[in-house]
Amino acid sequence: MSPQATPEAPYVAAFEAAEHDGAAHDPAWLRELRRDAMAEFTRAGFPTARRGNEAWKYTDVRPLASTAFAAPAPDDGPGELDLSPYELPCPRVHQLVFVDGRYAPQLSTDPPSEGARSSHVFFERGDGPIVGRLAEAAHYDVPLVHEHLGKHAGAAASAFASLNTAFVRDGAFVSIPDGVSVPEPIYLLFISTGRPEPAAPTVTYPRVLIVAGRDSSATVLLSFESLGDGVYFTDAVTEVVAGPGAKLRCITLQRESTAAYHISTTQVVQARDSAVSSVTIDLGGSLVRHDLSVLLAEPGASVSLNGLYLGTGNRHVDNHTFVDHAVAGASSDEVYKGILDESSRGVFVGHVLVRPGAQHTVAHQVNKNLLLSDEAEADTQPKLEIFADDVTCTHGAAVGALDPAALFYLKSRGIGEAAARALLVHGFVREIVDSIANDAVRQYADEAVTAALGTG
Amino acid sequence: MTSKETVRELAAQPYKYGWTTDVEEETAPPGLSEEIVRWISAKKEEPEWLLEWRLRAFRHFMKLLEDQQNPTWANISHPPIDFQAMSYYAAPKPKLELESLDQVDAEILRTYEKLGIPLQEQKRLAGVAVDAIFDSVSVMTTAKETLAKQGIIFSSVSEAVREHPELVKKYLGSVVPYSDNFYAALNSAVFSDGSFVYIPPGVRCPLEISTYFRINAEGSGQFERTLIIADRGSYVSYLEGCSAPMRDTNQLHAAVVELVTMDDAEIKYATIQNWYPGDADGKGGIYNFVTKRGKCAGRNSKISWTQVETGSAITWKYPSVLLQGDNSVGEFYSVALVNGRQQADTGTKMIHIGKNTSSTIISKGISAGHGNNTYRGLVKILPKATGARNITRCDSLLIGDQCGAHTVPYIEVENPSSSVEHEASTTKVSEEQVFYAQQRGLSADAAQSLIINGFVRDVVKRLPLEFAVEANRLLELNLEGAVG
Amino acid sequence: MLEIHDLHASVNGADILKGIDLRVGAGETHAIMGPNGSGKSTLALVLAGHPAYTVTRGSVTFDGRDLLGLAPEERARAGLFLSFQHPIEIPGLRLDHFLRAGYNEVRKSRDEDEIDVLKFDRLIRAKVKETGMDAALTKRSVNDGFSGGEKKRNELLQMTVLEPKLRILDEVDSGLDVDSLRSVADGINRLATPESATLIVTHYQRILSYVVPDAVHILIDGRIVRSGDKHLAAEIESRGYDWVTEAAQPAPPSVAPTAGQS
Repeated sequence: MSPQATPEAPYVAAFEAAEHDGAAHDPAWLRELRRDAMAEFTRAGFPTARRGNEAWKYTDVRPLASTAFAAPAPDDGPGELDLSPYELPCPRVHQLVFVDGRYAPQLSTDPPSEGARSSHVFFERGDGPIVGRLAEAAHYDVPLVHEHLGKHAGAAASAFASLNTAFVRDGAFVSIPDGVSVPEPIYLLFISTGRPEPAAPTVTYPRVLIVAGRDSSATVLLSFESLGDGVYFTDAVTEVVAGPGAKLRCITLQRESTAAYHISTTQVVQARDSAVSSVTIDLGGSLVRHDLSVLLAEPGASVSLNGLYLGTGNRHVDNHTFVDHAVAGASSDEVYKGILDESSRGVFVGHVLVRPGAQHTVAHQVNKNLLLSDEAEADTQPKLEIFADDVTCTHGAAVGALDPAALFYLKSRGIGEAAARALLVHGFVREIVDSIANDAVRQYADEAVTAALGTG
Repeated sequence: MTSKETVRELAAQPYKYGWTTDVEEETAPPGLSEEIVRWISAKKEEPEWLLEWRLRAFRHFMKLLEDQQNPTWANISHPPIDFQAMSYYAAPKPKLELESLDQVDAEILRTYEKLGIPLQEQKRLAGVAVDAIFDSVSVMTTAKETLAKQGIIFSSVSEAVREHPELVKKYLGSVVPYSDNFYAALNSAVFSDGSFVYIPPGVRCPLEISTYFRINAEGSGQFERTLIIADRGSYVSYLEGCSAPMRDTNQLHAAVVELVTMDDAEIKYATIQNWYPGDADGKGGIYNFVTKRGKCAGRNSKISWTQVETGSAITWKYPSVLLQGDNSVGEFYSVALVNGRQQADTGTKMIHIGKNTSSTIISKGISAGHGNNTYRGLVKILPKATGARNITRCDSLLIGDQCGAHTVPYIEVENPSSSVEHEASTTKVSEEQVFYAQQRGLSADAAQSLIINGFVRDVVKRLPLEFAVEANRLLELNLEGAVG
Repeated sequence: MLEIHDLHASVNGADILKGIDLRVGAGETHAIMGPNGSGKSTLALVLAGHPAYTVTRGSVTFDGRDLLGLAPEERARAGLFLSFQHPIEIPGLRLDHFLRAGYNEVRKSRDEDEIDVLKFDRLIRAKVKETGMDAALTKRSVNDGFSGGEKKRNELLQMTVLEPKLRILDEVDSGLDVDSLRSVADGINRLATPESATLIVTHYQRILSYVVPDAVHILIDGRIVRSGDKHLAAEIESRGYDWVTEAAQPAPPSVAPTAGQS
């Protein structure tokens, strides 16, 4: 560990250096946003306290805080990359690729694909979606970016979100105009080279802003992949704004290296009659934490939140979700499932808040965990907070081993122990994978999950 | 010494037990100090070890107070408590060694009769032994001789300290150490009285053992300590009830209850808590900050908590079970009702340590008026608890749109052969249900009572019959007029 | 084919089977009848190798092999099939995937090649037709949300696919209306061959009107107290079980060894 006074100090230094460099050309509002976020980060500090720190009760980020992460060196580019393992099984994709936090034009479709507009044409009028670099959109001061960036997952969310905002530079900006339906998936691929020692641990700050206009429709896949097994830190923030009647499906596939820290903050804000489906699949990482918040801001909004986390080795996966029923007549449906093997630990904290006056709310939440080894641990906290009486709210949680009765049923049909267990485990995850509506994305995720589960 | 204009006329809040008893009491001056702790201990003629223990607890509490370690995590709010403003001891004068009823103040006897707990031999409830605790002291323990014939010890804790110091020394603080939490530390320093029960090996206690707590004095807190030990293969069913006068200042009740079961023993512990809840605007009422915990120390032992919580301005209690012995069983059945401005943050902790341990949690929360009701529970399965099982069911019923119902379960599982299931739901008394009953000739209130009775039945049916009736009556009384 | 000798079994320390003797030959259909709690289902589950039951005494040979020494899946691969009284629901596991896994395991154990998805799909379509099941069910999770009748048809489908030597049918008629019962019974009869055998475990005589047994055994309190031909089943139907119990009282153990003559 470096002899810095505080774990936050190196970040302050890096921030000042960055502000001194190229960041000065950015619009004033963006620089102010960064500065405020940095101030907030230094004020809050890493949430390392082990007492009275309810939000981080089950997740100890001290190892992360005490590691000196540096920004990837500018000449650290990967050169040629074989992207074939990450190809989506469909002919047309709007694809943006980032390597170690930097936009990789040679790997992206630019313009992302036929029919879509590239980052250079933010101000042109057209029918297609905008799938472009956040850095350019911010630089050209695109009004939607100015309006939404940092407004939803801003300083208040957590020190990690503030840290991301303080270093916000590159990332993806996705805008679906009113009434536009995008049939092909929008694919945002974040690749970390993950160089092992003696390379220094690096940190990147992926940032995504998705704005879906009135009655628009799209599928966005965020994928986090790693080329090496070194130590690095991904501090991601995603903001999603769903306009009235918008139908948005967001899938996050996290497959970082087994030594990586992955912390993400996602804020979804939904207008009247919008429908958002979120699916989060965790297959990698060493320490993983997601904070996913949904604000159902207007009546008729509905959200479905699904999650799957696989624990092997010493992996620690923590999913915090918060659904805010701020108004009457919105609905939420949440299913998270964990499979925990070896010495892994899965944490689920699902908080549903029904505010005063949010009558006719329908909120369902389920968390199920399979424990496959003596050393694995599952902690779950399905939390309901209700201030309205005419509501239908349920939550459930279960932790246990594979059902012995189901195991016996399979064996009685001639299926051996190992194969029977594999079939039941696949059956357990099916529901989550099947909640991905887009065929290509589902097939891609299914293959990733199957590979991660091993045999079967 | 007696109360003055403390009884408020309250139309909206039909609290039946809000009168005071006119009896001369000896009260310690307000304030908490080492001196007071020594004074209480001396008053009770306690042995040195107990005084030492109290003093350790006192120092620990003062440290916590200084470091502002008072618990803030519960979903409750109240102005800071001034621990120097209240009195830690109040007892009716003269404090006598009571040999017979003749020596009990007639006013106090009348008090218990009025509360429905007559202490006079000929009027006592059949099959129930009662310890009557009035402010800081036990005024009467009935049926002691009957129980003594079977070797059962049933007395006030003060008496047990004198008569059975070895038992008290062994078990006091063995389940809830004084360092356990803020209010447990306070209680350990200043506890005044409480009930002590010991059931010898193989004995099935023939009577319901019960304690009735009455707060009467103004400006004093009540800090009782209950200790129940069920030796190998024994069984006891214990019941506590409580009430207090209506006053417009808050009073603190910070009790500690410890239960221990040896191999094959069982303790059933039931509470009907009806402390004064304060008025409709949240003025007055008892702060009920209680630590209750049982330890299933032996194999195949069982501890079952049943509680009906209808009173108190604030309830903060988590009757818990440490499931240490293999195959031991823990149960928690709870009904918590809040109305007016009442706040309840209650639940349980089931800590599975031994193999094949099992626990059941059924919590029914009813929120009305501006009340806020939180279920908070922990189910923890430790790595060695092979084959552990838990089932939790939390239901909330909301009446009106100004109240809140919250569920905060913590589930921590470290053994793969265990199974933990938690389910929760929230419902309302639907207009259709009420209308249906009305169409059959019932009033809206009667219809609501029926629906509520149904909602809490799984819990209330665990109580002995006469107490179940009382519990239902209390629920009805406390909800009168809640449905428009 | 199946020889049970002095079989004792217990669950959680409680003795359920208290000395069963039974012999079932190839081409035969036997019925085990008995009141609730007599141990019928236990017998079926013990034969299939359910881990909750402990065999405390006795032996079972199946096709000359020691059945009790085999794991549940080995018994299945050897050709023993149990149609469960209460088939379990397995959300998430698709029925056709499950069937293919079982089918291929059985083939592998016979040193036959596994068959691929397409071939299996054709096979399953034919078998589904044969059993009169709704084809859409094969794309759904195993028994998940199936009606009682659908579950029983699913058991029949699996039996049809796996082609076992010994079919043990535990209360196969429960939850079936008359038409379904007839079609399930037809399915069972269709599967009967001179090389295979059927053991029907039932409380009621109903199913035996459709699948006619060669022998009927009455199981009471863990023992076979009476054996006879199909007329014994009819007698139970009209007179109930009490008379057998009473008749059996005087000399219980001596009756058992006579069971299974055929």
